[in-house]
Amino acid sequence: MLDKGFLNKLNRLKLNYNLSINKGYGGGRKSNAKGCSSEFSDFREYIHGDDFRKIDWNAYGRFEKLYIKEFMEEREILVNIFLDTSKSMDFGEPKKSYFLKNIAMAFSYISLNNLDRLNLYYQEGTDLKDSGYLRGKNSLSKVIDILDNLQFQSKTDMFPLINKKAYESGISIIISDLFTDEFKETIKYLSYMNQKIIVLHLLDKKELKPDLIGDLRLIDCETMVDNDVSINPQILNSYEKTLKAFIQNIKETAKKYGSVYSLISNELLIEEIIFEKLIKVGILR
Amino acid sequence: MSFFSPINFLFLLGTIPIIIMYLLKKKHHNLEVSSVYLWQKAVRDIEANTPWQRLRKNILLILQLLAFIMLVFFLVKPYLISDMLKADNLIIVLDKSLSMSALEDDESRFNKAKKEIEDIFKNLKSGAVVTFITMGNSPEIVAGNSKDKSILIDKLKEIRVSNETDNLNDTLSLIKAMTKNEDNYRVIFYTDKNIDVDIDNLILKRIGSPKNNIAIETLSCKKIGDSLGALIDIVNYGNRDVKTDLTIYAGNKIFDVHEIILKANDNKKVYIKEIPNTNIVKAEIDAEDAIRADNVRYCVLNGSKIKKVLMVTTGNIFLEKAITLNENIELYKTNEVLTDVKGYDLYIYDGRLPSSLPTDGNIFILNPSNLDGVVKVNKMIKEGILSVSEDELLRYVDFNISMSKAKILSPPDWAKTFIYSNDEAIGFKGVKGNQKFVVLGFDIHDTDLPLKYSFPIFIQNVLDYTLNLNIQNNTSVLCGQGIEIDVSPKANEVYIVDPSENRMKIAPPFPVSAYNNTNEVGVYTIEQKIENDIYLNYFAVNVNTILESNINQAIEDNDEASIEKNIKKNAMINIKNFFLILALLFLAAEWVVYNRGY
Repeated sequence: MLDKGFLNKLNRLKLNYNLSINKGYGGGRKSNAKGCSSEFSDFREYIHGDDFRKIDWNAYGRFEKLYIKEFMEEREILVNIFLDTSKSMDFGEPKKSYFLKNIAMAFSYISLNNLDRLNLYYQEGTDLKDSGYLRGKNSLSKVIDILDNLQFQSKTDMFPLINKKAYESGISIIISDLFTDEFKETIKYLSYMNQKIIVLHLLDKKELKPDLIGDLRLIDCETMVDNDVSINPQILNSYEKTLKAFIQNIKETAKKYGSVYSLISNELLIEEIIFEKLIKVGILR
Repeated sequence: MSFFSPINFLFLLGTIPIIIMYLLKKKHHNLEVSSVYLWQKAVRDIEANTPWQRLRKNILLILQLLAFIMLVFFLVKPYLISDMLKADNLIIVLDKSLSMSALEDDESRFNKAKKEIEDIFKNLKSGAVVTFITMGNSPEIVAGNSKDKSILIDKLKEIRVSNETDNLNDTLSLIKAMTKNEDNYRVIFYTDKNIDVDIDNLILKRIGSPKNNIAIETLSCKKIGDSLGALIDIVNYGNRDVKTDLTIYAGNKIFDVHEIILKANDNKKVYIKEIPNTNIVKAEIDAEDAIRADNVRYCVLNGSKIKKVLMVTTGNIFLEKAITLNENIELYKTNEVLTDVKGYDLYIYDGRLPSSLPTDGNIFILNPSNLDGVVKVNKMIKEGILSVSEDELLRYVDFNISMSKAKILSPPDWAKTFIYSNDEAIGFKGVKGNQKFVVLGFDIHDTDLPLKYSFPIFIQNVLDYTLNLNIQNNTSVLCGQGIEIDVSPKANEVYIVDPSENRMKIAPPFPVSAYNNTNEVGVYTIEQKIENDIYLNYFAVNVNTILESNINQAIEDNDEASIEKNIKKNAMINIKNFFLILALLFLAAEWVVYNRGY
């Protein structure tokens, strides 16, 4: 998994997300609630009942009016990470599952480092399991434990399972290859559940650009459905178009529900993905 | 489109193994992928866009099948009938001579030509007028100016190839005459011979390719003493050496078998001696060659044709003239009475008799003197009533004659009197031993008989009786040619039995016309019914090997230049190469498809 130097680098990163957080416990995340952090937010006139300890006496000296100095409130945020453990994620060179674990680890680390509450969701059999709320860096070992023990054997679609749970408002990070027709429903549901959604679309380079040849019977590793395909330029062309439409469709769905989308290919290194790509698209900062 | 070799369509069965092999071929390699989610959509898309996508999956099979089918089409040799054949006035000539019966790929040249002609008939321009001529020994107009396709086709189907020789000159002059005042006409000439003529609009359809053939060109027989000798000439019209068996039949029995080795384009003469005396000699070679009719030849000997007659006389111009009317008789005269003569078929003693008669021929005696055992003269009479009895010697003879004197004869007991004077014999005939006798008891100079029209008939009757003259003169004829049948004047009915045992009455009515139904090779029997006897004569019908057997000749003529000329003249457009090119194109396409991994 990630080494120490890498984790140190992650210390500098935060989830870049403008959430109007006004609930939850105090945490490391700015909220739009006014609180008692050291960061100045605004002035306002004193009204009866305000804590007079917060009166700006310098302003009173100048304007002979009572002003209250307001400060930012830093609150914790809830980060849900949905891990697609379907068997299709066990493919690729290097495997998509490897990327999933690393990226999940990175996001978990960043979240825990920023005093956010973290919940990892993953599929086991036909159930959607969750890690329970984790907080603080000392929960990291549990995260590692969970990620290490992930089994990419699931043969059913995770997305309908997501829709069966209720979530507190927060950030939902979906890491999946999204080979599902339930994506839209899920996004809709999560959006309804007041989630800011980050979609990390993980695809193998061979899924992006197949190098198949000849007459093939393609067998789906999850459903075992087979499909006879005689590979020819036309069908490759059609695949490319289908792939484009597929990605475009996901992008549009994501955009519609205010989500951030990023397509991640296993051609890149993990470092490149986290420190360059995800920063570039504004998921991390 | 028509086909020269439709039998090759059987090769189409070869498509079945191709399809089976294609079915047996493992179609798809299994490959486990993360998901077929996108592939399913991609395939669905492409099938929606191109409905014949399913076909594309099998494009290799389709190309293979097409290439194969094109090859089969190449093999069946398809051809198109060009517009050249679609003139308003079409004259089609079909050679039905023997050489057209040569086999080409198990089908005779004649049948091939017939098929082509049938195609022409089927594809006739509407309103076109067709004259259909066959060429055998003489040209025959089978259908003249006909517009009816079905009639033409029916008539075409009835025509059979003959053993005849073609008569090119008569046929061409007939065509020339027919086309003299015509403009819009076309002549299509189906033959396997070379024609070099200056008829405009003549399309020569050369049927057939050079073939090897062996023929018995000559079979001639001769009587040598008591047996026969036969000279047989066998010709190999082929470019391969041939070993074959020559069988000689005497009558119906095999007499001899010779093994014959014939070099290419060479001939061999075989002389066979001491064949038992018979009427019919047959020679046959056992060869599986292109023409079978010329592998057998017959020779007929109807006895010796020329009869030798010795006349002992001091001069009898009437008798001499009457005898020499018969061309079959060689007449020898002498005025000396020789005793020790022999070798003649008939001895005529006119007024003089030797002391002893010859023993080998028949005897005709006029105005005799006494001779023991044969004739006894009783007395000379100067008057009496002449009467005759009915006899073959007097058939068609009006014996109402006058006589100045005659001798009354005493006929021996083997004799039959047929001329009487006052019921006493003055003329008789009979058979003594193996000799026939006719005796007349008067000198014809003492009668007015020579002045009567009956005289030559009477003499002929005597000669017929004494010489068995009712034989067939012409004993050999070529197929299809007419033959004069020599019928005895006494015959009541004449029949001809052909080699297939078909009996045909040719007379009455008399006179007998020439017999033309001689297509079949073999020995024909002439049956003459004379009173209650049946006389058999024979004649042989053989093929004209000199003109018809050499079907290898075309090799020399069929060189490159003339092939090119023929193609120009050829009205059947051979399109087999087109299919060969198509087959190659399909193969090339298959190769491209295979390499590009469609």
